[in-house]
Amino acid sequence: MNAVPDPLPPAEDGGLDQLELEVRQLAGVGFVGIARLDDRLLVEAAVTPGADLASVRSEIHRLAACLADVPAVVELVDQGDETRPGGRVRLAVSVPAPGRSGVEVHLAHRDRRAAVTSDDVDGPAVARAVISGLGVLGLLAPWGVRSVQDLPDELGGGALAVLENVRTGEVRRGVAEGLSRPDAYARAVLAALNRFLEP
Amino acid sequence: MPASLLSLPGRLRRARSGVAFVYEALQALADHFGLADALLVVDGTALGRQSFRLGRRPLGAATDGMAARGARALLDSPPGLYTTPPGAVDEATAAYVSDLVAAALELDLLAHDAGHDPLTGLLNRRAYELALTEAVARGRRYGWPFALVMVDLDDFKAVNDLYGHAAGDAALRVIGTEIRALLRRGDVAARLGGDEFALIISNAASPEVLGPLVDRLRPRLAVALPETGVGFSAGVACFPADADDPVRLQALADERLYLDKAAT
Repeated sequence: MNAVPDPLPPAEDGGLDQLELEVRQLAGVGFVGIARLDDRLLVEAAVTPGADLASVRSEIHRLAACLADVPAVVELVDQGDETRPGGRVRLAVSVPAPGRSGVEVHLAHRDRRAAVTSDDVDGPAVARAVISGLGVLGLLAPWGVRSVQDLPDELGGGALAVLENVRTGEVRRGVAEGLSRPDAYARAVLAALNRFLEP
Repeated sequence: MPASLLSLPGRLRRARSGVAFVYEALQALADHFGLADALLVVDGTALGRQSFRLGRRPLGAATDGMAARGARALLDSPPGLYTTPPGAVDEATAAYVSDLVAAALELDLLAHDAGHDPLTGLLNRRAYELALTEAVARGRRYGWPFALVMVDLDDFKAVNDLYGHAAGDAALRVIGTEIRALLRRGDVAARLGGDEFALIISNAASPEVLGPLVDRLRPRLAVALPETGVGFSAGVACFPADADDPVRLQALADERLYLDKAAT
């Protein structure tokens, strides 16, 4: 290959934009941070639990080799382990309770499941059932229900849950939509609490 | 709402990319509200939940407030804008910017998909033709030579016939990865369709570029696709030594590719 003048380098940030977009398209990646470290590029990606970390890492290295002008250092952050000491609780399903006026709420936390039934279909009743379900799952949930209400359509619909820590008085709010009103109530409670659950 | 934020839709139209706009929008918020840090969580895009931190900062990068509270923990928070100082941006403004950011990300994805082959991640034919035209234009203006390399897999149909089309697709993905790994920044790789690929190698003035490229690609494919026996033929044409227009370059590279294929 003959020696020739170097072309003007492509706009650096343009390369980083492309790198970031392609990294965000990798399965499980939900956050990308990029910083220059002297003669290297730090590419940090947060990945959701269950993602193939080795594959994500090698893909980022490959993309960086193509799109960045300096070698890359890749750091992966596993959202599942470090952002939630207790891990996220999922609402598996909420269905009308057979033969009763309440709702049967099925919760999942890692490999555990819990099913609880509310006394009624209104917001506070469903919220109390969800909180009791957290206890069944072995999670600390010292929360009481201050209010649970439907949000009007002009505010986007869904439900708002306001919970109060019975020990500290701390107030948490969660907003969520659902497949039904009781479903939205249950999800709003989890939205309020999922970051503050501990085993 | 301040003019600097009302102008964001216009800035989105002019932004060089959706991702670039996301950080422009966060910076505009930071400038107007005096934010030291900000993390925006958006949901409902084709990519699912995505989070962006002001200045493209990694999660551990220190600022007063956000790092201490744990930017990592915010990734799992409900969609919204989390700032240092907390609550500095009103909800309406945060929702307005969130919607624009989600739109910017969707536009970025659409633009990306329009120019890339979904199977291999390489450029598609349309984007390749633009890239070749631009390479010629740059070459004429600045005197930068480049080589156009056409690659065609040998007997690839046999892979599909023997192992099925899913295996054939997997093999094409591997080949795309290996080709991409070979290239330097500024080079271009495209899948033109079927088992045909094109590479634009910048700063290459003579056909000698082909030898090292083939020497590196062949063992990579042998390792990546054992037992399939997939090989390839290649042809190269150089700008400006062989031709100085895209059509002639393409024709020459194709001609040499088929000579190589006939010889194997």
